[in-house]
Amino acid sequence: MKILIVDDSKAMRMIIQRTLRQAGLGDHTIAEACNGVEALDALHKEGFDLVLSDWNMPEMSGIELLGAVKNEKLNVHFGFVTSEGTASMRQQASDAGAEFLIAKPFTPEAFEQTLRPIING
Amino acid sequence: MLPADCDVEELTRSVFETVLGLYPETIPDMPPGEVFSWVDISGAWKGTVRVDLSPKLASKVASAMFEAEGVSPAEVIDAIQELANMVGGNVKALLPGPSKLSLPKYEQGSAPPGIEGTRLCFRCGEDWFGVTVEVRREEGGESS
Repeated sequence: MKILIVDDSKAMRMIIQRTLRQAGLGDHTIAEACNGVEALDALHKEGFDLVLSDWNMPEMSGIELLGAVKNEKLNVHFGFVTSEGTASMRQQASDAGAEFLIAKPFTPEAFEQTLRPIING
Repeated sequence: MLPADCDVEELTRSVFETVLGLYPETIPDMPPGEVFSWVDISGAWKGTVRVDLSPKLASKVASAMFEAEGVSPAEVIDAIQELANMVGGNVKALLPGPSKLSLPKYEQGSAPPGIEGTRLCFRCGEDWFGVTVEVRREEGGESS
């Protein structure tokens, strides 16, 4: 599986990669993007199976990226990894077509529980 | 309104323990740190969530995030901004909505004193840091 991690923080992109490994989900091809514009460009150029996106980013936010993914009918699983995990944010994410929202700070167990069903198909 | 101190304490500990493997303890008021990062919240609640800490603790935080002994100044800024983002995002969940979280910002020096807010102090080993939640006053002196 090819996974695209989208977050404007390099530290957080590293933490997400580390957590994927700790969750036993590290044996996949992983790429990074620092905002929605870069992510969309990567999605156009390469086929990804899963996007893990932050919500709040410069240039293009995660919710805007998801909108573009849906508009262009890109075939990719999409979910948020964000510090904003309220019920209203989860509803907004779901209404926009996100399959999940993992709130920061997150544990390897949270990653495993949420992502394994998607990664295993 | 301001969130309950105990809730801010709990979420701060959760961020430090889960992300950094550090176990802070609350302590009485300490001087503000020499670097700080913050996020602004706007909407139904308007204010700021700020994390202030010493440069030494900032480097330690960045080292924990990057899992590296030596970190560059840019990596320290990135790490501390992400710290404010996580603390601020979780504080936002305690406050009236709907509201929006800004991108985090970073500065060196002492943070300006707030008008209406609460600062909690934590000890982390030999270092300490502060988490401040401040209401932003509307024009005309009314606070949110």
